[in-house]
Amino acid sequence: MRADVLVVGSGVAGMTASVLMAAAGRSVILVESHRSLAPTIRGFTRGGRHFDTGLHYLGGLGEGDPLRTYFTHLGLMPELKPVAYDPAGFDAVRFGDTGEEFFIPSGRAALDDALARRFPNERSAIAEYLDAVERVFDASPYLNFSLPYSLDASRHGEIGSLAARLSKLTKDERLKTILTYPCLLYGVAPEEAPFTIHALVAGSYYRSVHSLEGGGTALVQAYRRRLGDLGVEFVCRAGVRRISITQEGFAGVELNDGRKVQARTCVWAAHPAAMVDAAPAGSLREPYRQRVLGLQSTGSALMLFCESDSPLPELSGRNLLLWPGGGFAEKLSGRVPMKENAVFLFAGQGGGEASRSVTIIASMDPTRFAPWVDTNTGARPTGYRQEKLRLMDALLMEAESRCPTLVGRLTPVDGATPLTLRDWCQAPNGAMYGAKHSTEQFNPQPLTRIRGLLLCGQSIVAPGVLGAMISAYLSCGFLLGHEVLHRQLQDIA
Amino acid sequence: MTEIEIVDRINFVLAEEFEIDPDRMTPTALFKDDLGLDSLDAVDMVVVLEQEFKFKITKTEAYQAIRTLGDLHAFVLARRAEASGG
Repeated sequence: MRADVLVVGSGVAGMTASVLMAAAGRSVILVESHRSLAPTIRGFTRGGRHFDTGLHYLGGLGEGDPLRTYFTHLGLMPELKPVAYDPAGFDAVRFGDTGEEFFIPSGRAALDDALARRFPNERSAIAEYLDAVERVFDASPYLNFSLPYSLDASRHGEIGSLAARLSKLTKDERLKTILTYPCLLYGVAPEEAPFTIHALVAGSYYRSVHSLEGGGTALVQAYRRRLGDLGVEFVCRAGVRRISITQEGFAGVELNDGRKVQARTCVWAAHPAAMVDAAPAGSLREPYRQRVLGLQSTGSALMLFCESDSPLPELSGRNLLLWPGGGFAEKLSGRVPMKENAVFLFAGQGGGEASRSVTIIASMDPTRFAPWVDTNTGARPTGYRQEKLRLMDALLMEAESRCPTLVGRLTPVDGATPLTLRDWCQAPNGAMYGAKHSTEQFNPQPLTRIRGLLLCGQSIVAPGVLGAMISAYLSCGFLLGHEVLHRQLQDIA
Repeated sequence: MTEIEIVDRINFVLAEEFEIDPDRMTPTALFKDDLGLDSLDAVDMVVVLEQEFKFKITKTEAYQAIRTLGDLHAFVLARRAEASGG
């Protein structure tokens, strides 16, 4: 097989890079080690019912918001039907100590207003926080397309942590919790989460919140159609065993089944550690290899997929976070007892049958499953299955005890452990958001020592759908011209 | 460690890890033009030195303009002095 560009990994970053390169006239081969495209965000179907695993809700998909601009530019928008969350409260945070429930509205003014009403003495802190989030958002040419393009401005300029920033603003612990909880959506504790990453993720949800009709599968189908229209050849069950290089740089790969793909350019959208493993000896410097292989991961989780007897009012137009108190770092470590863990509930939106799919998520330390670390999905022993069922049961009971109106309404359908996530998503340690973006860690940049081979994905620029997508634009910008892509986005926005 | 020992250690570590000819490692040597280390290597250099000397270099500092080997020596010496309360 031969093409101008080989893209490795068919998650959001890989599919985005494939569309961009093919739309610019390059022939593209996209290889994926799983049996189908985009296993993480695709979700799965049980008994005719769709469950989402990777895509629960999207920030910044409203009219004029950045994710909408990207989806439009990629030619996906005609196929997608966004379903708006309740703008008066897209997340409900329920506090275990008092039972208080706080609704997070979308839209700067509404959010400012709701926070100020609940915390009247903290008005200036709230305004300062929201201003800071907006400043980060508006300073990036990848989010604010009206800016002239600048590669420097695309780097995260600020290095302070979220926790440090909030400590300077307020002493009110409840307010801090409400401003901090979006860290659960990128899996890094506030003490080490760069404020810039927090602002990117939280800021996108503060703009607007949607899901998609049909969930993550609908997004994958839209990509698949577009990739097909552009003549991208995709090859599934095709993990990369070895990278081959010549004097001129990247030359191709050998797949696990022995087939070879030749290309002079490679956009590597799988985990960067897998690239380092496959690269020939001597092609990368040893300190770089060690740094990439040693990248710390974001947290993993236990997911419980349930069917509800009818659409649940608690999850209509919003998600529900059951917050027991305590710190975020301990929750994200996944090492606290279920009673002390944060429990996040999501349901399909838009009413009707789709709304009866309910997903319950709690952080979980992958080492809890250490005895079965050498087993694979579909071939795990009884001991593992018993432990998984025990934990699924414990998570359901915990959710029911904190939200008694759920009792008797949910029937578990299946579950996912950190090992499931590891094997389905090809994610080291079952990490939900790739390598951690922290104030301490140096994540790899798009360019590598191997000429013609660029990295992209959640681990490179920022987490989530938007982060992965921006990463693909950044990496493809090195190949197609950053200004060229930026102008195309400007024309749409 | 004395300053001379620290400078020797920096040079030794960089020569080992980045395969630089020790003869070229003079204080005025430019990383890019004389030692063949480019911006891609900058972060790895920081990480190697952090591990060697057990201090933390923040991200802004790491991207600061250190052009010559002598600049780097001075940076590490200053950081060591701070760390030991000197």
